[in-house]
Amino acid sequence: MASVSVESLTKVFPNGVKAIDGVSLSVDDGEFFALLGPSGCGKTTLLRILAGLEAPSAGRIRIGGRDVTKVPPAGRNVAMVFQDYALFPHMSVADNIAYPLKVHRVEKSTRRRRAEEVGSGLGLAALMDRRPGQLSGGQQQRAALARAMAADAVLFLFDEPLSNLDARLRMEARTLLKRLHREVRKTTVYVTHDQSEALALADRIAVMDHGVLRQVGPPAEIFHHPGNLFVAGFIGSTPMNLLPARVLDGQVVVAGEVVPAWAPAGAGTTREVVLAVRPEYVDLVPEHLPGSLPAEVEVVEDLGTTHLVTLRGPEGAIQAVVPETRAPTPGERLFAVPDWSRASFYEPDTGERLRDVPAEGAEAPAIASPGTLTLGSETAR
Amino acid sequence: MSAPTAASPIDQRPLRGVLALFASRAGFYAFAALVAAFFALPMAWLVLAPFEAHPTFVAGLVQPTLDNFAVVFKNPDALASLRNSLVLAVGTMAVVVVCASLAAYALSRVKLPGRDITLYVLLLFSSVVTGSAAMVPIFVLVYDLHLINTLEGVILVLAGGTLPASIFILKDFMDSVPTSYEESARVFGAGPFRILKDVVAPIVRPGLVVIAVWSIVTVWGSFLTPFILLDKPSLLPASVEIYSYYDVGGSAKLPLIAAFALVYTLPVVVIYLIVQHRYGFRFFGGIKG
Repeated sequence: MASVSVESLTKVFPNGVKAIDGVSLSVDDGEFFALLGPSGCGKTTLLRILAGLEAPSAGRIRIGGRDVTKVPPAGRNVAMVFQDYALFPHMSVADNIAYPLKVHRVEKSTRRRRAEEVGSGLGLAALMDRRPGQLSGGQQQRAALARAMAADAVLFLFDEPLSNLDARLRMEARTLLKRLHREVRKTTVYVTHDQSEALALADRIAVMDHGVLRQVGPPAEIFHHPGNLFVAGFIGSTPMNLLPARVLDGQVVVAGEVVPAWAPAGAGTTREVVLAVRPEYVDLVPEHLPGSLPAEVEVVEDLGTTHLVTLRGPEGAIQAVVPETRAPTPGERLFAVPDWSRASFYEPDTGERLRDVPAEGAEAPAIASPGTLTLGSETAR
Repeated sequence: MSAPTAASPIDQRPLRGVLALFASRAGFYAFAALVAAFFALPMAWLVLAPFEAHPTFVAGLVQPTLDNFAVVFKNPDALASLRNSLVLAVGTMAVVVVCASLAAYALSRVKLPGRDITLYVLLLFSSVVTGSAAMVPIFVLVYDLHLINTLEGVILVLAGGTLPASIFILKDFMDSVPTSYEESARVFGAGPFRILKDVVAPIVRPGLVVIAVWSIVTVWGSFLTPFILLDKPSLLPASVEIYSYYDVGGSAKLPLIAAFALVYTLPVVVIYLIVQHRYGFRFFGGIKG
């Protein structure tokens, strides 16, 4: 059990690539912390630095309060699950699981017992004498997990452990990971490029891009109030609708229409802004309502229980997710009604989120202020 | 032999064409048979002569006997030479396998400037080291080290000649071991030697077998190096010993040479059969990711 703290960590590779640029973050004891970002954003490098497999160029790492910046991997008492599982092909599953114990010179019968114990907890009891090559992908993944658990480390490091599984197994393994974490409550740092995985698993998520942290927070905050346009575009199974808007005398105007959104105090009285609202919070209605945008249906994608509708509106494309029973047909002219109370405002140049002045740096503001709720709740489904 | 070549598609051809084809095929097979006989006859002699009471340079079995072997096994120098050969082969193999594993692992994992060119240059010089070109400096070196007339000296020189190619082969095997295996072992607390022993060596075992067998076979057949570095009769390996089987008149003792040659060949054949059985000579590409 240990907390992790990283202070102004920088990693420059010998070829001059700056993989991590002054990252500071802390992970609480027992927390499931996800590092999320597109490939090449530095998340795996950060994980490898935590493991001790890479040395940082600058900065400091503490695990359980102890400065381990210069400590080799063996001295950190961490366990890592690799993307390719890194199960030793010449050892049986039992020997693989017990390998960390073998390194620590634990006696053979104890090793075997511990391997059986951990392995059967993960449904590997019947497979203990097989070689990794004889296991399915899901079984290999569980064997790798078992090996990490057998190590009795204070910190789990996961490097995209689900990315080699097919979609259905990935869901199963995700549930298993979540359950395991509830049971053992071990501090976990989990690297993934899959935003749904991070949202589903993590207590907190750090979104990384080009070696810097773009936002750190619990999944709900990251999902509902992305801190900047990068996070807004990255999180969510469908990207957020980004609408150019203007604040005029404290009123929000989108495509010439005054919409019932409440401009944050930080936006001032007159300026250009970008409004972001999730397709899930956009409704389609047949006739004009205050704050609705006329649009023509272009594409309808069947997602099973919902339909993803892409429309051409006055300010470019806008997407909406509607229930299966209300799927429009392409060519239909409708009105898109975003739930304006759920909209976030962004600075067009920097892409940073505009917050209410008092809320600056504090917790995210409540979803809506009373003034916007009136119409917002009417238009919401 | 050439009858099957006149198969159905050829039937349509005019007779002259068929005949010409027949003649060219017949000529080819005759030539192949001649080449085969050229290489097979010494083999036949090697297998048959030891069992012939009065072997000549003609392969054949007129008076079968096992007496020739009795002569070999009663000759103390012959037995000692086989033992010396074994010591040289196994000793060199051990030095090569240990040093090549360590060197290949380091070269495979540590990025050094000019690493590849160094390897190629080493490989180039390896044939020089045990070849005749470098024999004088090597003799002087071994002499100054007081290793003349010792099996250790020969082992060192032979290992030196075998190492570059062994490192080269083994490095290739080690390059194909994913680094995540080692990193995983490192995170679990294993040190470099432990990783080499527990993880890398078992995975590159086919490569280790290749260089082990190759160095044994090379040393078993090497002549020049032991011939120059050893002159004490009790230390000569079989490859050199066989050249001393002449009678006082200067003619070869054929019964002894024939039997000794067969005994000398057998270990290599046995190694070949074992490796063939266990690995089927599919050394390369045996690593699964």
